[in-house]
Amino acid sequence: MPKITVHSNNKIQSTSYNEGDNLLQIIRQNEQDITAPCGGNGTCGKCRVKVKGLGIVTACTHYPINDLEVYMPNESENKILTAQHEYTFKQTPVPPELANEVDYPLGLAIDIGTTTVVFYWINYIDQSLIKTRGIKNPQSAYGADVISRINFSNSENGLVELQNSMLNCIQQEINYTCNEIGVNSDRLVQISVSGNTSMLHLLLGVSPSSIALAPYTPQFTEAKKVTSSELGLKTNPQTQVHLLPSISGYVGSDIVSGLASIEAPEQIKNYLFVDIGTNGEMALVTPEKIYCCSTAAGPAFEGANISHGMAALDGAISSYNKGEYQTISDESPIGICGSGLLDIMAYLVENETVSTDGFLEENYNIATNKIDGSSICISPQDVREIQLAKSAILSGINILVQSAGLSMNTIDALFLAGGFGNYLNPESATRISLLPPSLLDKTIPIGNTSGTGAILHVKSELFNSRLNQVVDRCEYIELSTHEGFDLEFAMNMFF
Amino acid sequence: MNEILEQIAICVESGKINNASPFPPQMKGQDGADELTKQALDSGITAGEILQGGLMIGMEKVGVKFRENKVFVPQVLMSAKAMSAAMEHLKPFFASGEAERKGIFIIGTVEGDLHDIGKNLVAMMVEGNGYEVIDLGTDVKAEKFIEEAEKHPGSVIGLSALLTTTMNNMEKIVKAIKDNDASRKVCIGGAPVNDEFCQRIGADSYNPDPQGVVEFLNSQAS
Repeated sequence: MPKITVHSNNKIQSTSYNEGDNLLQIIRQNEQDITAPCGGNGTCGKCRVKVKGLGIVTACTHYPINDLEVYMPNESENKILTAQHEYTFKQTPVPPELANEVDYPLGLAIDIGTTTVVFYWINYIDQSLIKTRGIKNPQSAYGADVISRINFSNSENGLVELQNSMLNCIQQEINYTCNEIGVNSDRLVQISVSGNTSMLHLLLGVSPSSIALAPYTPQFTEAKKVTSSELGLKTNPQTQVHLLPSISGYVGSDIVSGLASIEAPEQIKNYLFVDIGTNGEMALVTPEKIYCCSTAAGPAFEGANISHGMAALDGAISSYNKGEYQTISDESPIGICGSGLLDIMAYLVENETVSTDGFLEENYNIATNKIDGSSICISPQDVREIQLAKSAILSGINILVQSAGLSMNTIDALFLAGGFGNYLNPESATRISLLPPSLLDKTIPIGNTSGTGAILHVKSELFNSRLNQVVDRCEYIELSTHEGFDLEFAMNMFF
Repeated sequence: MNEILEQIAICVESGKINNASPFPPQMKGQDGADELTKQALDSGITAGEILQGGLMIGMEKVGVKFRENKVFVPQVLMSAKAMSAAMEHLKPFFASGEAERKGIFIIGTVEGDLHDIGKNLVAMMVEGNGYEVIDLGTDVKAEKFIEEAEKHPGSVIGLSALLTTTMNNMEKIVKAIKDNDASRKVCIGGAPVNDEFCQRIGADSYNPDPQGVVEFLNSQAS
């Protein structure tokens, strides 16, 4: 069998591979970190790697036959948001009983996002957060968005492969951190998991297929409790793994725990909660009810579908003002991430390079890629992708406000959750009407509330009742069948 | 060419529905496709002439501009609405057989998929180009397509899907239609679909934009 040598983050690894597999499959088998937003369909071109003697190739369409050496793109660790905020719910700690039975008991909160998995370690003795670590979701290799991942779960062994990749990733984190702190992994007495509904299905090995097909009904939304040994995790054998409750196929426990984690001050009566990701999830909280919906924004703000788009990694243009740009870690620019994209769009709309209906005459140059001298630019088609994505978010918000019988001027605050929400410039977001312009001064970034909710759940059993209250008060609005969504969606594409 | 037909074409092209519609802003207060079509009929212009000399010309321009990325979904939707307003006046003439259409197009979003914005744009664009359109809506099963096609000999079927997961259903539906009648023409479209997929599943035509569907239908009709 021919041999493959992989260079990744200064490590070199050699193995043999099966002829006939494409390079993406081979790299996955080597358990290397690789992103394939389209799931290896050969359509997105984002799984590029460097092959010695050949140059840059798209891994999923490259079928090697001889020995080869591959250079993976270096990646910096994902930046993680803090999990505490002035509006975080305050509660009495009630640790699980098992915590009384071991010395130095630990709890682990896990927020499984489609793109990123974040681990929060809690020390039960003083309720402190001792460690936070974020890594790329290992399932990214099987598709960037939920739908392509569900698609993969339908393939032979797909579901098992996806479940194992997540369980392996959790086990590695447990081993790594326990080793680092210098304790045995049986000190871990509780794991609380929040995540979108599909991620929770995959964690339990339950097929999420039905979530992708009308009427998008998940196999379960209620909270789940299993022991770690049932999942095959090596910890304390009695450790309970709790999956927090969801609302629907596209409003998961990440949103429920996020909503439950917020305790708004008295003067904030009606507020919006928006988490912008591949799926934009949003809720409108009123004193009586919570209205929520999910909207397919697509991965444009995460860099996919944008000609020079990329994730928020080193070298990504993350902010832009009148021709001046900044990159993450101040490295020379190699692409544009979501927050940079918004700033650039706001600038182009402001100076009328892009018309209010989204017409851009020709590619607009932003910077030069110092590695190969190519232009980093915005194309007319990129503008169209942004129009679709931003209209999906704004339309969802507008329909929630209408459904509650409220008007935008009765909204007291707009909480922006998640990584993108934290880094985007609210002025740019309202300038291109991704968010309602009238809420500019009421926009409050609130960090990773999904993780915050999972932490609160680890710390106290009482948090369950708060989660249940959110579920009970929630009215889910299905946008795809909502009357008037078409027109709303079309008209909100204007800048 | 008749001036009022030219104006109708402009209304369709720019999405001016009626006098009261605020869109597009630069045509505020002017009569739209609705009023002008009624005036044209009152002045003795036939429904067929209005369709061919007004609506079809306007719709074609929008279709081409959309393909060239010069206009986007909202403008096409408004154009389609302007066209529908005009069509309301013309329908009685088509129903009575006084005016003829180019053919019949049966369209629907495939089983398992509820997305209909793209499908609606294609339906309206095709109607505006002189075809009778039977829209079966969303989440449509193979049997429904076949049943409708059997009622209308010579009709062409259009399938839409937005999700990679519902592409599989598209494949099943194309197979069922072809098993039922191998000569029946089927065209497909939607975000995850491409030409290669179209050929693999045995459909007759894939088009990335509505104008392409119109051109395919025209090639079948002639």
